[in-house]
Order: sequence, then C-alpha cells, then structure tokens
Amino acid sequence: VTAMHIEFDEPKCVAAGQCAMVAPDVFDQREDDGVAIVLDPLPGPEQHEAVREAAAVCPAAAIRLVEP
Amino acid sequence: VNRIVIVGASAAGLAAAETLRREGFAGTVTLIGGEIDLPYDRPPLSKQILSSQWEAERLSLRSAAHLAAVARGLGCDVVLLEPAPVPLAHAVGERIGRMLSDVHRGQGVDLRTGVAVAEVADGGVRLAGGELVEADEVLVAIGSQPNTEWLARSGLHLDDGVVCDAFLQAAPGIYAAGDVARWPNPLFGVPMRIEHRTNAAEQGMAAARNLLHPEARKPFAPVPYFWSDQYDIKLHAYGYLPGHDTVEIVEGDVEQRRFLAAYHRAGRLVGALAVGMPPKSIRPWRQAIAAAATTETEQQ
Repeated sequence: VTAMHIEFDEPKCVAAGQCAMVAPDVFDQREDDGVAIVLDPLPGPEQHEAVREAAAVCPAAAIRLVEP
Repeated sequence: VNRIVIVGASAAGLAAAETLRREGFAGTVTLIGGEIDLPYDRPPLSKQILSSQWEAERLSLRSAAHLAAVARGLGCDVVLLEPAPVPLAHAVGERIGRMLSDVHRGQGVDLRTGVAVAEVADGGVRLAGGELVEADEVLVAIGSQPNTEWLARSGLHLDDGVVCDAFLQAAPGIYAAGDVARWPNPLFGVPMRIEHRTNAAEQGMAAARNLLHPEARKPFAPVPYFWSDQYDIKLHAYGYLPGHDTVEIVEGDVEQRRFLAAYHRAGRLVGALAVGMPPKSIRPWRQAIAAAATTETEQQ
C-alpha cells in the first residue's frame, strides 16, 4: 500500500475549485472566498487517481503530492 | 510502443510525461523544450510575478485587461488600446463587456476603444491616424498563434493549430495537446483550441492515456474554465462563451458588479460567468453545462 501526502500552498490558490470538482471527497472550498480546503491530507488509495488529477488541473499549481 | 517523444515542455507536455509513467509506460520518454531553463509554470508570470516586479509605466496594445489591472494596482499610468468597440464583448457579451470597461475607467485606466495601431515607435505607440501615444514601456498583448511552422511539411492537417479528432489524435501515432491542439469538443459540437493552463494539463493527460491505451481511448470532452482578477473583482467562467446568442443574468446585479450570468446558444446552456460572487456558487452551473451538452449529444 502506497501512502500519499497532500501539500497545499494556500497563498497560491486562485479559488478555481477545480480540485473540489475532481476530488470532492478530498477537497472543498471556503464559502466566502472559494479558497481550497484539504479535507483529507492523507487520502486513501481509492482517492489517489482523483487527487493526482486535481493536482494536475490546478490552474495555480498549488497542490503538490508527496508520494514514495 | 517503446519510445515516445513529447515536443513542448510546459503544462501539457509535463502532464503527458507524468501520465505516461503513472500509467506504467516503461519505455523511453523524451521531452523537448524550446527554452534553456527547465520547465516552469507560466500563468503566474502575468498573475503574480508581474505585480511584485513591475515598476515602470506600462502601456498595452489591445485587450490586456488583466495586466492593465495589475499595472494600475502598482500605481502606473496605463493606457489600454483596444480595437473592438467594447473589450471582451465577443466572449462575455456587450453589457458585461461595458461593465468591465467601466471598472477599468473607474480605476483610472485610459481605455481607448475602436483604435487601430500602426506601429511601436520611438517613445510610444503610433496609431493608424498618426497620433503618438507616449509610453515608457509597451506591453503587447495581442494573443498568440500556435507554433506549427515546423510542422508545415509534416503532412499533418494544420489550421490554426494541429487539427485532431475527438481523441486528440492528429495522425497514426501522433497526438496533440495544449495551446497547439484544435479538436472537436463533443460536449459543444464545435472545434476548439484553448490557451488556458487548466486545459493544457487536462488535455496532456488525456492525450497520453489515449496514446497508451488505444483500445480504451476516450473522447476529450472538458468544460473549459478560465479565471481573471481585475482589481478586487474575480471572474470565473465555465463553458464555451464565444458564439453565444443570449446572456441572462441569473443571480445578482451587473451594476453592483456581483452577478452570475448564463450563456445560451440556440436555446442550450453553453457557459456561465461569475463576477464578484462566492466562487462555489458557479459549481452547479458547470455541472449543468456538462449535462445540457451531454443530453444534446445523446439526442443526435
């Protein structure tokens, strides 16, 4: 089983919400300004594909994944 | 497949390379870039880097509304020259285009519309009528052309980009992704070429998957997205706004600079624009755009 750790660079976030759409179980957005919230910084394997997609489509490149 | 060459080392190329490895491709991947430096992320150049490094007075040709906002925020005197009567009207519609013009003028930007530029001259920019608009710095923001000259004799179909099918395939064994790819988006039924960072990454991943797994290939059918900061106003748009025939304000008020607009073409929802709204409010619209388009596709 591989671990995955999400590092989120909040000041870079542009509130696009792409991550919350691609991986709604792992990311959400704050109500007022839309800045992303990481719901689960250590997502389970079933979320990995969606989280990688979220990191890739982030228009601000604010999501970094640490994978062994 | 043993060897894959990716030409272009920015968002689309990198996403494709990463996807190939993630999907288990163990052969050789060669990534070719035109710049000396290692791949870097470009959008922050205009969106963040600029705002901390700009000092001199700037002037831009044509619609560079986003950059004008950044420059104005730094206290520069900005003249914005725009050939269309209303900037961005082709994309967001005339009423909202006018509202955005008012925003810039209200911030002290000297916005001149319906202006043709003759040349960048000594000391500024010469207009077609002969007038010299003085400037210390000139920022040219006239859009881009896909770099396809090197493919002129390749036999690939080129027409404002590399023309691909819905699977992003340009020819057997050749796929295109990012700014350079023109493909028919099955969600909207029109050929598109998108110059946005989010699309480049998504498209690079899709092209890599289709290349690697031709037996399970999928049409590339995204809902396009872009955003822009203009002073304290944040714009988010989903869908394909150019070519719309009606704009409907579904929430808020244009004059208050806080609203959500829905764009239709031939009675079908094709886009949504949120201005000054909580960003989450546009998310259901993205789903509605995808659903409306999908329904139409199924009916055909």
